[in-house]
Amino acid sequence: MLEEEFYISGLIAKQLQGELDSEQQRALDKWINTAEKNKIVHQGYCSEREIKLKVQQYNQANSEAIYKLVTDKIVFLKLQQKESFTKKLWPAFAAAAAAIIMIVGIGLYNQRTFPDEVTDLIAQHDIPAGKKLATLILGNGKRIALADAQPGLLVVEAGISITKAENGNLVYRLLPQTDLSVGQHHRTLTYNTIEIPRGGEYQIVLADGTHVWLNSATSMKFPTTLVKSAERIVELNGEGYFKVNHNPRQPFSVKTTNQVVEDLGTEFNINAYADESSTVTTLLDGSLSVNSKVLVPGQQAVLKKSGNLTVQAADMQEALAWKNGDFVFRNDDFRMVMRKISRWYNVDIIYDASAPKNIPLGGMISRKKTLSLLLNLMEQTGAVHFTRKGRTITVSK
Amino acid sequence: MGAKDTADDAYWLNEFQRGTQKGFTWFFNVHNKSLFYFASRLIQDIPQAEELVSQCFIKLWERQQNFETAENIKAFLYITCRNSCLKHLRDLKRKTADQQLYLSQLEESEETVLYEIIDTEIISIIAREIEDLPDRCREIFSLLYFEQKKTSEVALLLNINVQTVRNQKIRAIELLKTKLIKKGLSGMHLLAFLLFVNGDIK
Repeated sequence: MLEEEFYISGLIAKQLQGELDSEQQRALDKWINTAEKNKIVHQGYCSEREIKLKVQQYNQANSEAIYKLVTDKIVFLKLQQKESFTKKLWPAFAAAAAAIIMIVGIGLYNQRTFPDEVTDLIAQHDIPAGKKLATLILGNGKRIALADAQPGLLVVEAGISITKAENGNLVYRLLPQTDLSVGQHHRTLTYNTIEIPRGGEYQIVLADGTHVWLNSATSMKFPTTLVKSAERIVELNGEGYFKVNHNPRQPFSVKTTNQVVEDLGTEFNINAYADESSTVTTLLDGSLSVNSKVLVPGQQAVLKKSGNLTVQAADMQEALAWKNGDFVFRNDDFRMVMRKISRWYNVDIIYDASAPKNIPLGGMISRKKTLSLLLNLMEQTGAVHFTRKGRTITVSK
Repeated sequence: MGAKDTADDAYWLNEFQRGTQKGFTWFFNVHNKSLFYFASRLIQDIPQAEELVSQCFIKLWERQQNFETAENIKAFLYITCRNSCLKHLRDLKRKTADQQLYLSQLEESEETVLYEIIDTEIISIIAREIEDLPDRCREIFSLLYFEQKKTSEVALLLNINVQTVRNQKIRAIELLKTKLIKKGLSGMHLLAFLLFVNGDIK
């Protein structure tokens, strides 16, 4: 009785919730095409206003008043009336009670595990967020895949030990016998490089205690025995957040393709991707200079490819979003947003001729979400459409 | 979801058939709003709809042993309610134009009722999504979405800061599934939380 109605309404609700699979879609389409009236009825659920009005109407129900009207007229079973009865039948009753508890138990069990299964299922078809992924290239050219490495000591090399910590971070430590006198071992400076692929991120603690967060599609070259050199100079390609262990006698510098950032005791973020039009350095704490121009906390230096350098007030939330595990887009250029997505989800972006040139997007969403969730949200603007094939996303109108 | 629902339903059906208040109340809570919505649309009279719905639940109570599945209870409630509504409309001495229209449609064919049942089921699923939001989140959602209050007004009304309102709004958008509701809540112009178009497409 009414099975078809319950089934169809369930399908339409699922469609509105974006959870319809292809088989259900076919069943719904079949129903829609069975009668003209079905089509009209179905179209009615595409109006947000209509649905809102109906939900409001639905919520007008005064459940308490109705409940009182009902309970005024019926008498519920009093359990104590059955007491002597249940005592006699205690073993049977206990068994029944156990069965009920089991049923409830199963209910709870399913409730708890079900969402995980769904997530796993989605993960197979969807592209998950980026994760801790990096390759370390040692002085001798040897490469270590850090994601696969077991936590513990990885290498002992030229006066330092390299460890993968329990939290996955890469930690450099000077070996105790190392001579710390500044400037003595210039000749023996060994360089390591850490490479973060698209779809990865990693954290590294250098030998001098400086903590660096590295974003996707980034590489950093650094001397392993930072403490022994007169200057500490690292080279960055991509994006990194630096928490420098300050030493006034031994400045810390970050070189990118066209700029040098010199720390004067600081925490800062550098966005220096080759495919972006400018290099952006944002200062959180302390002070630093960008190509000799001094910044104060809350400011950012924007260096155009042309060499034009401007200093402006920074949007901290946006600049540090990636490190905090979020995407924050504020009036960002649409293609720049897509480049961020390309790096973090390891996907290629192709623009169809119909693709909008520029939709300034704004918003915030966790970087832990799957790709399709993010793209779906963007599609809700109605201005853009995405088609995915493997790891290639085609953008169209 | 099938397994969980079936286990729940089996448990509550058993409780209901044993005649306990909690078994009855569970089915009442699941169906009373849907039934009220259904009846109020058919008879266009809110107080009368409440009365009719209460009678449907009393009839359900009287037949507690007769149901094999939870879905049968739902179907029984709809059909009982439809019959009560039809009878009510027939018995009305004076009818409004809407009531007259519904009566003639109901007498002519079952179609209208079936579409109303589909409608009720869809709306109840969406409404339940909102009901399932955490309390604070739902409260803020309702003020923003149904009462169309501004973020700053909600903050003032509940004596909380604007950021808290925003955070709860983000939460609601994250938790809700129905795209149209999410879209309605996020609006087309402000909102720093969902991705949105805030400039002209060039």
